[in-house]
This record gives sequence, structure tokens and C-alpha cells, in this order.
Amino acid sequence: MFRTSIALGLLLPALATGCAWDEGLEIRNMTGTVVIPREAATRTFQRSDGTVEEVTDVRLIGPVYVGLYPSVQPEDTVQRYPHPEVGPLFSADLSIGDAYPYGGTTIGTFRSACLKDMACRIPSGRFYDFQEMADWFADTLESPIKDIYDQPITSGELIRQTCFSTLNYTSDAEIGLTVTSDRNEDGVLDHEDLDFVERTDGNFEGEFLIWQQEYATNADGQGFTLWAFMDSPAPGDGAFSTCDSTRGRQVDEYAEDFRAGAVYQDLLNRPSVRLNRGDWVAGQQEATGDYGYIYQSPDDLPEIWINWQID
Amino acid sequence: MCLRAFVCLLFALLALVQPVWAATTGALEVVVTDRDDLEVPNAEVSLGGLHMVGGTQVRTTDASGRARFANLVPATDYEVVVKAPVGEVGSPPVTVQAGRITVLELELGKVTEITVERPKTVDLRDTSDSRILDRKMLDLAPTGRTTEGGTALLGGAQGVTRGANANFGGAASDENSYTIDGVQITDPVTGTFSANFNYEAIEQLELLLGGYMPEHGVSLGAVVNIVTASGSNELQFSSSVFYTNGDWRPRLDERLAADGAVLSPSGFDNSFSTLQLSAMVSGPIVRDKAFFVLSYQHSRSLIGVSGTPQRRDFDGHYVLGKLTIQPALQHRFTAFVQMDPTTIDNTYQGDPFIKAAAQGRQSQGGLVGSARWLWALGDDIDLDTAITAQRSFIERGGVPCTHDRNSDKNKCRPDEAQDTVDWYSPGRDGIGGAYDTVNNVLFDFDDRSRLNIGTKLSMRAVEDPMGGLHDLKAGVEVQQLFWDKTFGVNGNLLQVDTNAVPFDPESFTNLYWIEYSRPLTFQTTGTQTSAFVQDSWKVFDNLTVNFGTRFDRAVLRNDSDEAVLDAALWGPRLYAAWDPFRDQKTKIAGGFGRFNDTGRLSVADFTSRSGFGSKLYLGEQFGDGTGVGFLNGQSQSFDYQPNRTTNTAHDRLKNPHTDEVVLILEREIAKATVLSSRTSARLTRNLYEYDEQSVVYDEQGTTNIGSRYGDPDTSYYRVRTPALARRTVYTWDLEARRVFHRRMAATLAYTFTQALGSSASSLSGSFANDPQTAFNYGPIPNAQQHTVRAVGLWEIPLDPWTPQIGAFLVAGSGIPVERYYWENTGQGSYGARIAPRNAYTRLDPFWDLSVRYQQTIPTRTGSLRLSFEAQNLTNNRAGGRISSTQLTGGRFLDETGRAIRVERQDPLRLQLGVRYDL
Repeated sequence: MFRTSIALGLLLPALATGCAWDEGLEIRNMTGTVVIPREAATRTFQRSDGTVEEVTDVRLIGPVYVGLYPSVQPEDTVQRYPHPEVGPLFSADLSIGDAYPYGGTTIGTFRSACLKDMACRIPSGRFYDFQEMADWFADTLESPIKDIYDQPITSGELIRQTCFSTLNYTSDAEIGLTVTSDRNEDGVLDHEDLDFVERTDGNFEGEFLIWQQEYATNADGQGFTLWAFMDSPAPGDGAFSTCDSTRGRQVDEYAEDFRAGAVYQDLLNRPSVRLNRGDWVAGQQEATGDYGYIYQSPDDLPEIWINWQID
Repeated sequence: MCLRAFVCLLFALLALVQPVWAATTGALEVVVTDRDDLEVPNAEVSLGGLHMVGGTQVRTTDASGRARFANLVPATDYEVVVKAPVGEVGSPPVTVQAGRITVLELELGKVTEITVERPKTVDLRDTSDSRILDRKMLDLAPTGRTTEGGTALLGGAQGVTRGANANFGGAASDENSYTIDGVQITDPVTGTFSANFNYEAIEQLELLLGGYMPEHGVSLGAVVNIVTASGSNELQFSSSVFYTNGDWRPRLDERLAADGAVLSPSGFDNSFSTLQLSAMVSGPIVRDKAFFVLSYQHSRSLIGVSGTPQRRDFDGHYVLGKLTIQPALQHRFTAFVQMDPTTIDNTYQGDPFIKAAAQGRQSQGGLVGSARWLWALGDDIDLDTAITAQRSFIERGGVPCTHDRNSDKNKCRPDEAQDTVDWYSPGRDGIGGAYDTVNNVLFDFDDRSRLNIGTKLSMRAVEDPMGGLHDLKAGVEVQQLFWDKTFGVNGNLLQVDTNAVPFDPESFTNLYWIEYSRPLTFQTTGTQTSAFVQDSWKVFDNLTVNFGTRFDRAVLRNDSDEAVLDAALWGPRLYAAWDPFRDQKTKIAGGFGRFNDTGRLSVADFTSRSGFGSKLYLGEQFGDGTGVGFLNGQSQSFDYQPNRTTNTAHDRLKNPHTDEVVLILEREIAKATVLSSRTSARLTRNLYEYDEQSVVYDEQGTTNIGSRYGDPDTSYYRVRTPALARRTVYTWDLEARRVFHRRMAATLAYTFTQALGSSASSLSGSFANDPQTAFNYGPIPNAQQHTVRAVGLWEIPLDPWTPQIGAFLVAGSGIPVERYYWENTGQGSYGARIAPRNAYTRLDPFWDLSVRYQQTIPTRTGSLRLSFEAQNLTNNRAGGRISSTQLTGGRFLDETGRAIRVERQDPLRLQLGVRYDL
């Protein structure tokens, strides 16, 4: 018995301390829902034949940016739209102070521009397949994607094969621009697997996921505030102003020599520098009356409306 | 001896100060029976032999007919003679291995009749997953005359190349523990092997893969325990020459398809050759009282790995000395010294475009010394006290110049003295086919020291009032570590040139330059205090319980003397071995153990304040001829890194640990042949990893979209030990092993490994990019799923000589392969995943067959041994280990759409050897 108790006495405390150890950091994968009002996904096109067409389409939803800030302020003298709290200006060459985000993420990326003409024009998660992509730019925007010889592309397969060739990719999933995973787990790859899907009320919703976010509270125990905005495609070519065409992967194959484009690396610090007329931001939330969504707990599952159009 | 007395002694010892107590000696248990198979008590058992330092020992068998001899140096020629009223018996040479109890059964018959039983092949007391190569096997096996070649034979190692630091059982290559003659030689900074010595001096190579007891120290991987020769009463001298050449086929630059097809032959003349000159002398200083060993090896290798004009020139001198003195039966003193000064010229082999003046030299080596006192307080109790010191150095810089016109090395200017090293001229690196010119880029002076003192008390055959016998051990240890480093760039400046038109030297131009801060100098330190207590309790003849624990208090400090790691760790172990049939041929063993990692100085250094600042300026290549775009002003640096690191450590760190469960089944299925099954689950948790506190990423972690600190160009890393940084490895090993019997030994083994994790090794950067956590967990590249290993060693008795043949075959499934995609953080690189870790594909399976043939020819004064060895006889070229920087982005596929293999199996190498024993 004496020896058994020695063994157990040595074993159990070690196991107990191993299981009970707490790193002391409140780090979570934080999820939530972004709601895009129907009008934000609607645009009126003046066709070349003189007709006017109003289009509501998920492809008119540009990249969405989600940020966690100390607070969100209503429209004021700093900005003409609801905006994150900003710090003081400390440099003469800055137009606005830093917003110092706690964290954030996006819904949509610019990772794979396989042609120069695709750079900063095509966020991920908006197209079912490559043919839909070719058709959208050619037919709806009437600004077709052009190949390296400046000729319009009408074949989605050509875009796809160009991606394989230029980026040395071997699957659609690697390119990451089209639907390749069954996000809603209904057994079918379709438009319901895009980043944003239409709700029964006609608005669009998409989920965001901020990985490994360290939770922060203020002196009152109140959490940080969620704010989001959407970069609407530019009239004409559908380009996005939040994308820096001097960043991104360098493509220098054959006659191609361009950068794929990437989001400005200070976008969440100074979003107003990149936001333009027609873009949408999260304003006062109807459900709470707050500007943005104020976290009460890291377990919150917020729904935030991007409901303010910049004019 | 009662338990209370042992506990009292333990507490007395804890007041003293102790290392890793790797086994350097073994034991022999003689069981004497009569012709009716009844135990014979009070028989006189004498043990002698050439290696019996201290002279012949005599014991009397106890009531169970057993007599035990402990603290025997490993040797193969012990002689046992038993005398009793009912008869007398003697044995032929008996082998004793370090860390093992050899059980020898002797049957007394008529006075004139001698019957000898073999040593037991199933060790009923051992609960560890351990394997041993003794001197005879080391001689016969095709190991390439390297310790890593030896450990490859023993299994557990992963990968297709014979690197010096293997991955064992899915653990990282820096998580093993290496000892030589009980002296810890694991590099205190990197956790890797840190001493070179003469292969011919190795007496035994032991590999502990799991289930081992607390005395073996801290390690998350394997324990590699090397025991060198100790000398004997016979004066012996041996010398040898081994020459290895691998220039039999074009190699690394040969382009092969994934299916092995040759896409293009070699364009360069790569080369590989090594020469080992060895000599060893050993013998008595005072017969039966004092033995000595002196060993020297000169190791020279010339290896051109990528067609560089100057081959990597390795020139090492390994000296080993050992003195064993036993003036009386109660006291044995052992002194051990090892040193390995080495110079390596032409260290840079990155590309063929490098001029001799820009090549590098590395001087390295060290000194290991230990003094050990073994005090036998009684027949079954002894106190082992040791003090050891290790100092190793690595110095890097440019190649000294020479006036030798025939040398391909750096030529001296006419006014320069021979062997001058240029510490001042900035180096010029060439990319895009441009040559490296002028000087080597950096210099580095790196000194690492370890001071260790400890003592261990061993008590054997302690009777338990409740029944059974205990083998008790307890020890304490104190260890101090130092790492002193000075690092800088020659002239504090690096110029990088290119050919504006690729490979056209006429278009040679400056691309950019980087100004560096002055050399940094720092010291990091560590202190470790440890204690262990363990018991091997033989409850019944067929049941042994091994249990114990170790306590480690480890403090590692950065260059600001901040205690980055300050841990108090318990490592309990509980194992049991059961012989269900009581026939001493079957063992069912298993149990649980916790193994802790006390950290390495490199972990503490991650948060050292001394940094290396730099400013990047763009060169002429960026100009447009009008001055626009060409940033040539001091205030126009393109990128700036401060010379003070921004790394920190979280204030709550938990040292990594592995919880292991093992199950071992062994059965002697034929004479000298054992079939075994070893199953283990190793759960490694809380590995050292850092996160990044400033950068905010997009949804996939491919682009930074903001900065928490308003500083998007600087990384703010924080060392943590998160629960997510983990590794889980399951291993099943099925092995049939025949120990040397009737001139033959053989092993046939199959190993299945499943290794999943989020962190293959510490501080890998797995958690530096938050969204990448989504893809972090997957197969780790350290482990192969299926491995088959076969070893065969034969002595063929032909008249007049006995040829000896050794063969080693290893085959394994390919390792999982990672693919990285473009990310925009920092200056942009390929470092992002879009799918789970290592889920992209697997490399091709591989196999490697090596054979050795040797012939010993008796001469008038000794013997001459000629050997021939072929490593990778069929010159297989399967893809090898993949580092995290390989197979990135656009270079994953070649122009034919085939996967590019960046590293391959070592090619066919032939080794010729001559050894003379006097």
C-alpha cells in the first residue's frame, strides 16, 4: 500500500496540473453575420443600346471588411459617415488619425488575379464558376476581362486555364475564386455556397470568422465594438478602391508582368482614406440603437448591418 | 535494506547536488541450478575477464540461486565460473551491455561436465522501448561508420537521408537527448547533437524511444546513449582508414520526374568524398587496477552539393581519452576527455555563382570533460558522483586568403599575409546569375558552455517486507548553461548585385544594399536543478513494476537577464512487466510516463533585446535614368528594421510535455529469436510557439489589412505555449529480432506511424498568422506512415578465413508534402496555406539497401581487416525531407507540370576500409 500510494501520489498531481493549466488569455475564434441591404447589392446600368436595367446580384457585393474597434462614432466632423474612433494626428502627411483596431477580417480576398485585367476586380466568393465570371464582366458590366493581347475573354475556361498556367495551380480550390466547397452542407455546389446568400427578406447575409481574436474590454467591462464596411465595385470596370494594385503576387510569366493586387495594409487603421461615394458602412444598428455592435461577451454572435451608404 | 533507510538516504542526497544518468555500465545476473532444475544456494560465482577492472569478483548465490554483478563496463568477453559441492561449471564469453541486466543460467552437472545456457533474450525487467547496437554489430553493420548510420539501423528514425539529427517517433530533430559515456552532449542552444568523435571508439550505441525511467533525463524525443570503450588488461592498438566516394552518378542537379523519369541529366559535376583516418590504443596502466583508452580520428570530407566551384571542405580532428581506475573494490574513478576542433571551408553552397573570395569558413569544435567517482558502499549499494563540463564554439567568417597559386581558395593580395581574413570589406552577394564577389557577408563568434554536477545512489536487491525485491535509484543534479554570441556583417554593409539581363555578366548592376547596425553581443543563461527517484520492484518472479518520478526546476534567461522560462516540472513514470506463462520467454509490459521539455537557450533568446537593425536601399536597377525611383539618399531607405527586437514572452508559459502510453509484447519464438510488438501513443502538448500581436489579416491570412499597433511593417512576436500547439503520434512497431547466435543476427521490422499536429517543432511560427490556424492541424512531416526495416549480419565460417557480411534495408512511404501560397505580409512571400497542413500530397515511397563485406586476415602480430561497403546500392533517388521553405508557390511544378523534388535520397556511395588490430 505504501508503494502504491507513493506512485499515485506522484502521478496524480502531475496529471492534474497538466489538465488544469490556463494560459490566462481570452482568445476565441469569433463569428458573426454581416447583413447587406438589398439596395447595396442593386445597381442601375445604362446599356450601350440606351436601355436601363436594374440589377440586384450578389456579385455587386464587393469585399466586406470587419473590424473590432474601441468604439464607433456617429457621422460628425471627423467623417461624414459613422466611423471608428480615431486617435490624434501625429504626422503631417496623414489626413486622419489611426483607428487602432483590435482585430478584424474580410469576407472575400483578392488573392488570385490570373490576368492583369483581373487585378483588384474580382474578390473571392462571388462567382459560382469561371463562365459566370466571364459573362458578368462582358454582359452585365460591359467591361469584359481582357487577355494578354488586350482581347476580350468570353470563355470562362480560358480564365481557368490561364490561372492554372500562370499561377501553377492544379485545382479550382487553389485558385479560390469560385465555389469549390459545400459551405451550407446541402450536398450540392451551387450559388448558396457563395460568401453571401439572399435571405427571405431580400437582403443578403454572409458569415465572418475572426481567428484567434484576443478579447478586450474597457474599464467598464464593456467589450470592443464591431464595425464593418463594403467596398462597392466602381462604375464601369468594377474595380475596388480598397485594393492596392502595387501589392500582391508578382506575375512575370511570358509576356505578363503585373501584380495581382492586395488590400491596403493600413485599411482597418484608416478606412476613410479608401472609402468613396457609393461604398457602404455599418451605422446605427436598428436592433440595439448602438453604432456598430458592442460586445458584451466574447461568446456573442453579433449580426451587423452595413446600412449606411456614403454619398 | 529497508525502504525507510532508502528514503532517509534520498533526503540526504537531495541536499547535495546531478545530470542525465545515462547508463554507462551493465549488470550480470547468474542463476545457478542443478540437474533437477532446482536453484543452488551458496554456490561460489566468480566473474573475470580482460575488461574486469578491479580484478575478479566473487559472489555467493542467494536462496534463489542467484548472484548479481553490477557496474560492469560493456564488453563481450566476461567469464563466469561457478563452484558448488554438487558440481562446477564455467561459461564461454558472456556479453554485458550498458543499461541492461544480462541473465545467465548455468546448470551444474558432474564435475567434469559443463553445460552452458544462453543469456536471456527477453529482459523481463525492462519496460522501455529501447534498442542496442554493440561493438560487434557496429563493426558488421553498413552504418557508413557514423553514429547516425547506427541509429538508422535501430529504427524509429524518420526520413530518407542520413542526417546527423534524426526525427525519432514523430518528435522534432531538436527534441532528442544525446549522451556520451554519461556526459550530456546535447547542444544547449539548438537541442541537437554537438560532438564528433571516433566511430571506432564506440563500444555500444543505445537508442531509447520511449518508456524509459526518470534517470535518463528530459527529452520529448529519443535518448541516444553512446558508450565508448574502457580498455582492458590487454594492450591493444588499432588503426584504420576508411574512404567513401559518392561520385558514381550525377546527383542533386539531375532533374527527375515524380515517377523517377530523368527529365534532364546533370549539368554540374557534384562530388562527395570522405576520408577517415583513425587510431586507438588501449590497455592497462596497472593490471586489474587502471585501464586507459586514447583515440584519434581525422575526418576530411569534400562535398560539392550544387555545382559550386569550391567544394565544402570539412577538416576535423577528434580526440578522445578515457582513464578508468579502480584501486580497490569499493572505488572506481573515471576521467573522460573529448575534443573535436574542425574547420569547414567554402561553407556557402547555395549556387554555383560564387567567387573564391566570397566563400566562408566555419571553425567549430569543443571540449568535453568529466570526472566520475563510483563508490561501492556495499555489494548492492553504490554512489555515483560526476562532474562534467562542455564548451563548444562555432566561428564563422570569410575564407582565409592564400598565396598558393594552385589552390582554388581565396587568393591573397600581394601585400596581404598568408591566411588573412578580411573582417572589414562589405560582401557582395549576386542573384539572378550574378556572382558573389569581394568578401563573405557575415561573421559570427558563438560559444556555448555547460557545467554539470550530480550524484546518484543505487541500491539493488532491497528486500521488501511485503515480498519481492527493489532496485532503487535516486539522484540530484545541478546544471548551468551559458551562450555567448557576437554576430555582425563585414563593414556593416551588404551589397546585392544582379544581372539586369539574366545570366549576362555584361549587364551586372547593383540591385540594392542593406546597411546593418554594429555587431551585436549578448549572453543568455540557464540553470537547471533536477532530482529523481525510481524503483524497479520485482514483486514476483514474473512481475516487475518500474515507477518513479523526476523533478526539474529550469530557469532560462534572455540577454537582459529576464527569466523567460521558469518552470518546476514533475515527470512521473509507472510501468509494469509481466511474464504470464512464467517461462521467462514472454513479456507483457506497458505503462504511462510524462516527459518534460526544460527548454533550450534558443527559446529564451527569442526574446533577447539585442537585435540586428537594418536599412534597405534600392539600387541602380530601380532607377529610370532620371533619378526618379532610384533611392540613393540616407533618408530614403525602402525598409527599416530597428536594432532592438520587439519579441516578448507571455508571462504564463508552460513547458512542453509528452504524455506517453506504451504497450510492449515480447515472446521468444525460437532460440535467440524474439517477436515483439511495441505500441505507443505520445501526446505532446504546449509546444513553444509565438503569435504576432499587431497584424490583422484577411479571412485566409494571405494579406494584412491593418495593424493593432499602427505599425504595419514591424512584427511583434510573443512566445506562448498555447494548448493548440500540439502533436499526437501513434506508433506500432512489429519486430522479429535474432540476437547474435550461431554467427548470425537479424532484424525484420514493420512500423506504422500516424503523426498529426499543429506544430512540428518549437518556435516554428505556426501561430504567427491568426487565420492560418484554420489550416494548422494536419500530418507533420517528421513521420512516415509505413516503414519496413531489415538488418542481417552474418559470419560465414570458411576455411581459412571467416568473411563477414552485413546488410541493411529500409523502405518507407513518402512523407506528406506542404504547399504554400503567396501572402502579402511584410515584403511578401510564399508562406500561406489554403488547405490543412501537409494535405497537398505525399512524396514517393523510398527504399535504401546498403551492404557491407569485410574480411579479417590474421597476421603474425594481429589481424588485418579489409572492408567494402555500398550505401544505397541501387542508387535510388526518391524525394527526401522537405523543409518549410521548399515547394513554395509557383515553383512547386516545373515547366512540364511535374512536381519538383528539392531533396533526394543520398546517392550510391562506396566505402573502402582497412583496419589493423595489433
